[in-house]
Amino acid sequence: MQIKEEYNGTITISREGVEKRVLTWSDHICVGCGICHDICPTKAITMGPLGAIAKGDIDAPKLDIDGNVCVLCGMCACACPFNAIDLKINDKSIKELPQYPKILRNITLSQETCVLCGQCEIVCPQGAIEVERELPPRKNLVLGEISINKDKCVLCGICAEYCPADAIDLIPNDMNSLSPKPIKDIVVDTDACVFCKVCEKACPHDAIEVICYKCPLAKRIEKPKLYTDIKGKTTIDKDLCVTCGWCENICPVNAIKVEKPFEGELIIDEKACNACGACVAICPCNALTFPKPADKAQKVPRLAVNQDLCVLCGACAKSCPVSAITVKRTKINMTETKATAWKKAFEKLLAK
Amino acid sequence: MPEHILSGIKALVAMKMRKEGKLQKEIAEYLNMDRSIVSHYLHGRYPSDRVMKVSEVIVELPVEYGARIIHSLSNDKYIAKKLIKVIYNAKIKIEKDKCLACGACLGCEAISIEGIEVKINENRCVLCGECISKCPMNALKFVEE
Repeated sequence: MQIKEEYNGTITISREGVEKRVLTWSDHICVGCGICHDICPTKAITMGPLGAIAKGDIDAPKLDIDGNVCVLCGMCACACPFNAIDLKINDKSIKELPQYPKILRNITLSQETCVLCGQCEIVCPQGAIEVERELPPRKNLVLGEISINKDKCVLCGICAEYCPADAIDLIPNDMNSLSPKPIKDIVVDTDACVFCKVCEKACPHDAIEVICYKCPLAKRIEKPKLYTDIKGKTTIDKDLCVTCGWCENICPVNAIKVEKPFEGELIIDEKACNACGACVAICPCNALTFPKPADKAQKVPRLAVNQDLCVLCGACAKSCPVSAITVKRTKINMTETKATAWKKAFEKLLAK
Repeated sequence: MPEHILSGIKALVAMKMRKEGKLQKEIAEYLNMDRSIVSHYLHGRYPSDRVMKVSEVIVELPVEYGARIIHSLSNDKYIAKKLIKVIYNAKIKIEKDKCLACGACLGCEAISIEGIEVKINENRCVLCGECISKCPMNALKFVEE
């Protein structure tokens, strides 16, 4: 007896017995590629109207699993390149069980090499990367000395008006006091000061003296090693990551390595494409675009794909209303399996 | 009544074994019966004609049906297995192309999942055919040995 439950974007199908099997599908991770639908040996999975869902025309789950037809074999969980489906056998995920085949897909990041530039965080189409930086205080970077000769200073505040770093403040006098002076004091925030000497030049009474250690006019000191003070961490959420390769392509120091699940290419039939944009909207990798037409006479924009960023998941092909996209997979990077039925099912994912 | 039909099936099995050249003693030991009863059967003094008629119909059924009926008649599953073995000479086989190792057949002591394949321990299997009815992929079936 299998029980199916649907709650808040997840589907759970469970069966008790000698083995406890629980299949779960999460809408928020699922990109709608339909690999599970293609591989399912019992045809228990049906895809929603992906084109309309991708464009936001309708709000519906990307797929449905028939609880009566599903036999909880777990093939979809092993094939899902995005970990949106999982099967737990006696509370252990099928992906941790060595006897089951796995699609190999990985992303590794070398924290030692990473310079925390954060470009990967910006380009990641899934928002799976987070760069946290702990920078040393700015005063460690801008080195110098500033002093105001209080005997000379007339508290005019011209320096404060010129200061580009808002480092100089005039402190107003307490109006209730007996002293007639409106300004009590002048203070410099040395953490904010950039030692630019603007105040020194502006001061009508030569009351300010600034020494910049890095300025060619002042005495130099040796460049302190500041980079070692920069701490931080780049984290990748492997559940959300689709191994599209944006981060690997963009990383200026080659700190990220991505292993993709499939090899092959995406073929676009330009004549059939009516530029509806469903594929662009659904692509989890942002690999599809409509570049600006070079030829002004061209009426329908031409769809283009960056093969390096495509994971060949096929979500675009499934969402295309005119079947203008074909996914041609030539190789699946996966572990070996002896089970014939499984082997054959995975072979179906390859182009014939 | 079930006991009578089971006796009828035993009589048919005893006769079949005799035709295959088995001795009365061997047949009695195989079916765990009194030798005198085997002797009765072999000399034509078997249960009533109606019982024999029903027994013959059961024996002529395809194995997947016959085996289940014989199991439902017998309280001793090992005797039932022996009867099925002689009548149909069948065993349960897994079609590897179809089996997904979904685990629906588990629960029988003869069946286990090793790696990602379902294995049947033939010594423990009593040919009851229950796994066949549980398999959602029709990967299990009786085959002649």
